[in-house]
Amino acid sequence: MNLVTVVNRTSKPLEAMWDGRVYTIPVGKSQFNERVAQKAKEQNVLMGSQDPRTGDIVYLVAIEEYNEDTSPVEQNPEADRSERWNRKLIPGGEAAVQTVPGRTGLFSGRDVQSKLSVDQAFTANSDSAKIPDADLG
Amino acid sequence: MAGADKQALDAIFKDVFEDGVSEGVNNKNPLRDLIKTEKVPFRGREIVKLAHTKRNISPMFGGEDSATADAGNQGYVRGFVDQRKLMARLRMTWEVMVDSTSSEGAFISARKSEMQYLIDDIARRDEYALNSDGRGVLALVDETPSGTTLDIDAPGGITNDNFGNRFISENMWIGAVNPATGQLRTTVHKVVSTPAAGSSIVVDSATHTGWANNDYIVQVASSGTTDVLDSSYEHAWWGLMALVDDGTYRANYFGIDRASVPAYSSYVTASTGALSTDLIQRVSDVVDQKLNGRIDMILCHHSTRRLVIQLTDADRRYSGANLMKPDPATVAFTQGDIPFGSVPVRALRDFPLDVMMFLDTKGAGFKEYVSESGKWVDEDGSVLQRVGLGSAFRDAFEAVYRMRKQYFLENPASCARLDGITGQSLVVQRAAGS
Repeated sequence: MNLVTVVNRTSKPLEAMWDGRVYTIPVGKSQFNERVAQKAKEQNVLMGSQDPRTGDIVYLVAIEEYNEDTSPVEQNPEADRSERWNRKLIPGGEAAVQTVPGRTGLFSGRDVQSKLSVDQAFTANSDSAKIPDADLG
Repeated sequence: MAGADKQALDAIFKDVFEDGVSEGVNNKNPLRDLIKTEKVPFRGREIVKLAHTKRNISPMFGGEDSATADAGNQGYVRGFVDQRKLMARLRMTWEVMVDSTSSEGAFISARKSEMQYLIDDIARRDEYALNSDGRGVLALVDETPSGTTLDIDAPGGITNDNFGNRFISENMWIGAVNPATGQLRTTVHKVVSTPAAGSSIVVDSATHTGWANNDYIVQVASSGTTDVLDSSYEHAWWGLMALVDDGTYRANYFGIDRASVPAYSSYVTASTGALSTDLIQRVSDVVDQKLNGRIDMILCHHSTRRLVIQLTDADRRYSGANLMKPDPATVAFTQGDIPFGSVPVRALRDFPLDVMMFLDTKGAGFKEYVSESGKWVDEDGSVLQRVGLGSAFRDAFEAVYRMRKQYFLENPASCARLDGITGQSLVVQRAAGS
């Protein structure tokens, strides 16, 4: 299997999974097995960049030997809510997909983890800890 | 106030014991019940399978007296199906067995409890394996380990940043395997707790010799385990994430290079992003073109199923009697299968969190090569074995249960997968009792 030169076009390390193993793609150039490089491309796409009509898509990873575009690019800041396709390229297709997070009314585990410190000891708020007087009517 | 009350006469009262045991362990294993396999007995060293994978490319249109294309040939590959073994063990003292033989002395017979429930626990592990890739990986180490609280992700070894501890249980012995070498790291740990947030586990010591980011966390036999042979690593039977795959989790499909033989490579889209109806339709169209696949079952986690429900939220209208009594829910509320093109979308408790899998259950050819479908070890005539001999003898007994099999899919290309689906509000509950 050939080694190829992989270019991480972004400013952050990226990850790829191949054969059950996680590979970290450092910023800039690095050498990887060609199949790992292919997978790194497929798993790191610029969300919202795929032309639905042709399938063309912008990858965050390039393979130098394939003469691919290695110029800097950053992930779409709306990536978590985007799809691969760029629906703006389809007439009338722009509004077809809307993702509304938290619409179920349930807490997202991901949000909870990012907003709450789970390691700190629980401290009861002194006001809320008071037991209200019983309503005797 | 003097006199008799329940506190004063506490000694005269009896506790009243109700018969029976309330079940507090979730023993439902929906995927195991869902996948109907053709069971084939296993014999010999391994099952060798021959597959026709390439056609003769010589057919060529030609003119009068023109040359004919060079001869071609058919292409075949061989696959080799092995066996994987799951074993479980219990130990009981003589006293616990005899003192629990009647309902006067115990709620349940210890012997019945340990032996019957162990089989349920094995089924639970079977369910986990069916939802993963057969590496026996429970999660991946997330970031460089330090302290007794370990950050973990990728539950079951399947890419995802959330709920890494969903397959890890308290008191389990775990080790770390170096993904580059397949060797076990020096330190093994006992799991002390699995915090509800899901992204960490608490272990018994802060020493993690050799452990590194993205190491495989695997189950090991005991505190003294030093050899990867005594771990779950590469010992689980293959689950759906290995069978319906393109090399992301299993590049080598039972000896066949998936990248070279398209029939054994499923259609997998990484970084899917937001779900849409035309995206799902595209998956069906791809498997039809690739291997004439007909999707008849869609699998996902409950969190992802809610996205499917949302696809039709804005289009739902009420009329007539329903207008006075509008039902905002769907059949999914009673855990029925919400349909997509009449195909049931089945939510599974242990399924990867951001994956949607499309199965052609009739055409894919699910097989189960079995050498032991499940039995107490009794080759020497006894299920309960005395513990030890001589000075090691203890008045206790052990029993061991074994299963040995491997799953196989004849046509992985007639199935497909969407990875990296986003937009879910992930709500993951550990199976009760896990």
